[in-house]
Amino acid sequence: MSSSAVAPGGLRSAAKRKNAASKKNKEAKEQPLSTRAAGAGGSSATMLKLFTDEAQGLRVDPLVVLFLAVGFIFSVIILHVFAKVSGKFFS
Amino acid sequence: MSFRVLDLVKPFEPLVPEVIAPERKVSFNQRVMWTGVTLLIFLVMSEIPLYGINSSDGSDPLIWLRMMLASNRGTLMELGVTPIVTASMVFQLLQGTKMIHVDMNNKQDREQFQNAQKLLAIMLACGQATVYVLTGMYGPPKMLGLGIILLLILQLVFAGIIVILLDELLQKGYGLGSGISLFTATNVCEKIMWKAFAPTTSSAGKGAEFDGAVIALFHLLGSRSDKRRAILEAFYRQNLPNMLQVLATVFMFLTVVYLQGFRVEIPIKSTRQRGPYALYPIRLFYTSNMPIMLQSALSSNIFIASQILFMRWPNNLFVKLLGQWGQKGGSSQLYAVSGLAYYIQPPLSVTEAMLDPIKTLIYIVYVLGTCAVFSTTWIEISGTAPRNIAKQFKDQGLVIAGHRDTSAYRELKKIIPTAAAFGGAAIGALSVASDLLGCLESGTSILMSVTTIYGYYELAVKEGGLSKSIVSGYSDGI
Repeated sequence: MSSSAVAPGGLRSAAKRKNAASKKNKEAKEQPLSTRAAGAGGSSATMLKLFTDEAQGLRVDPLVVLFLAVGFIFSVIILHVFAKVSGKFFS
Repeated sequence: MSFRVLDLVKPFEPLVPEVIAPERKVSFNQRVMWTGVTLLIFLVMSEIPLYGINSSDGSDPLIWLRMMLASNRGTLMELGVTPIVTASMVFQLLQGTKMIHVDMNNKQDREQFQNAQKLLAIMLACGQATVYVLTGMYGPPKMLGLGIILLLILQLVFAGIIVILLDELLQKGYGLGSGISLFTATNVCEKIMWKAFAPTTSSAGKGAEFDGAVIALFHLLGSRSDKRRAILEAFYRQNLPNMLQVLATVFMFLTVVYLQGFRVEIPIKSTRQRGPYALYPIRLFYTSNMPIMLQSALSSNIFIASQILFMRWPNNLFVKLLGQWGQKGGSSQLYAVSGLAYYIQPPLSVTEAMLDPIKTLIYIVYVLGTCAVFSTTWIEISGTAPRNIAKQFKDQGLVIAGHRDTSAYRELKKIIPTAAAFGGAAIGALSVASDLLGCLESGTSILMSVTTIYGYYELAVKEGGLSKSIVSGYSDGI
């Protein structure tokens, strides 16, 4: 005698299997949540198909991008200032 | 298991930086804010000069591309959006010609595709930066020294990567639309505003004059005693931007916005649900600014190739036929003076157009023809041809009201190619007209910025950001 009360197979597990399969299918076909997926991309909506979904890369928060950009701008400015100052004092 | 080209990028996948997509839809106000901040960063970066450059005088060989690629000479934005645009063009071409197979319905395929694009964009940024520095664009490499060369390349590459990330940020749903078109449009608008309101002065014989047209008008009116002469001078001065050009630019803006509204509306209804008719609009500018962009890309590439060949072999017959270049009006900028390049170069003013009517005629025919051809070709490439739209209708269970199910294709085929060809020619004509009227910027750039801004405006209406639509009866497009 098997210990389980319900026999394996049958209607219920078929439904479960179908649910799981459809969920997996849906996930694979999932469209990105972005402007381009919504059918809009500025004026030339049809022009360039660019990066719009999630990939398993090095994931960056958008705020980090902003800080990176501002940091870069400041570092270049500091280089300029440094060159000016050292040119004034040490030449 | 088969091995595909796209699998080659797999080992680099963990290295490609990528902005996290928003988990839920970002609200309209926040999207406007993100767009604004990104734009601000881009603009600041396009004003800061590169560290370590020696000289950036002399003729600019890439002046024809600067406008399209949102780049500024000698600044951090030297590369502009070139790497992104080039990479995506290459991949679109590969995909369009079925050289690489990508199943756009498969998530993994899409991921690999976009990673490959981004990798190519970063590599292009590195390559371009190296070429720019080593060909002596900022002074001879021997004079710069190894340290400065490395620093310059590093700055350019890093700026390139930041632009790629900023564009991705905007596209992933934080911003309103595509970053590329936004950056390009902003660059053009900035140049136009600067030419109208520049506070800088330049002196040429008669004393100092303001560069900005509007400021010069007030200055001349205030400082000259003969008001009639002052107004005449403010409107007709040849050496600097004048008020006539400002008025021409405003006029072109209004015309383009008016023409943007032209559309044929096809009444459609659903076969699945009963209900009222919906309208499917097909615009006059069916392909938007695509034809003019392609046309100007073609011309600028011809100009660049011709210029490089002419520098190297000025006495070759073939090179002379392609184009001869010379300086004009004291500046170091080169212009085509004869050959093929001369005929496809826009006339610089009405007087010039009058002086050589054959050239003007050839130029007009060339622009209108290429724009129409590019427009009709583009609908096939971009998947907006009648066949595709008819299939889309069928998939969504839509039929044209008052017709049988099967006749949607026939109806669309009557309208769409005509709209595309005529719209392409119309946008070409607008570009020629604004060049001849002498607008502040080239006709192409004005058209591009207007269409982009209008597209953004429509998007804002569609997203429900504006309380009410200014264009009455706006209906949802494609």
